[in-house]
Amino acid sequence: MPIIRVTRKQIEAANKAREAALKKDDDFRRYEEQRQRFEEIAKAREAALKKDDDFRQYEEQRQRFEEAGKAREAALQKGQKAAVVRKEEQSS
Amino acid sequence: MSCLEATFTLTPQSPSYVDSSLNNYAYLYCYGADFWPWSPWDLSSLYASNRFFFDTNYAAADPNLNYAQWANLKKVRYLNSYISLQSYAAAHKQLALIFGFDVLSSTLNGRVLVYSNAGLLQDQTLVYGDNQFLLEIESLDQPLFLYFIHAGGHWFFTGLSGYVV
Repeated sequence: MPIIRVTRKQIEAANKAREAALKKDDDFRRYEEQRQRFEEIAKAREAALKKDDDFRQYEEQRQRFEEAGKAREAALQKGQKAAVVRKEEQSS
Repeated sequence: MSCLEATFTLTPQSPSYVDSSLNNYAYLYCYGADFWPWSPWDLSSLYASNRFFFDTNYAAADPNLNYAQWANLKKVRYLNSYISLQSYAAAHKQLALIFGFDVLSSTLNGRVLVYSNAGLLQDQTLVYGDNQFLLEIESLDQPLFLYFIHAGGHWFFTGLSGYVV
């Protein structure tokens, strides 16, 4: 397996380069500020899920619907495969 | 012999790891992936198989450019991981990071440029039949951004797993 080694020095250099780029490049800084805002929202959501039973119940229900959707998708794909096999059997 | 359990696994369907009690975080960002109209490359199939697909013909990076420059980086398709596991730093732990992939066809290998903000770490070929490569992260003292830039081939990203060791 290919191995890439990332040293402590490289990590320090990367973070310094990042700081410098954030100071110099307005566009990058704007992007990064936006990214951090979304990150804060995600963290707040995570905290709310832990604290708020009602929100957690809603989220569990949403995930059940998502699982049902995935099961439907898998069944549809299986159905498509079965149809192809049937067609191939008919033509041979 | 027992297998070491991953500290986190980031995938398209599960792109974040948050342990706020330890102040540990890992996130996966995707800045562009490709879809074709047919299975298994269409959106539904890729969602069901929990993968991203990258097409060699679109926005593949030019290995001659420097993608530590934001102006270059934002024009190409790439995956970004942010890893902050500083609660492990005091114990001098390291991180083994496994990048998972599949290559579509034996006729065309994939290619990924692995970058930090300071520059290129590795120009990595994704060989047909292989399914992972390893990054050994020496220190967890500081958070780290890693960029996996699509630079050619038809390939799937399957996940990024971190093992604190």
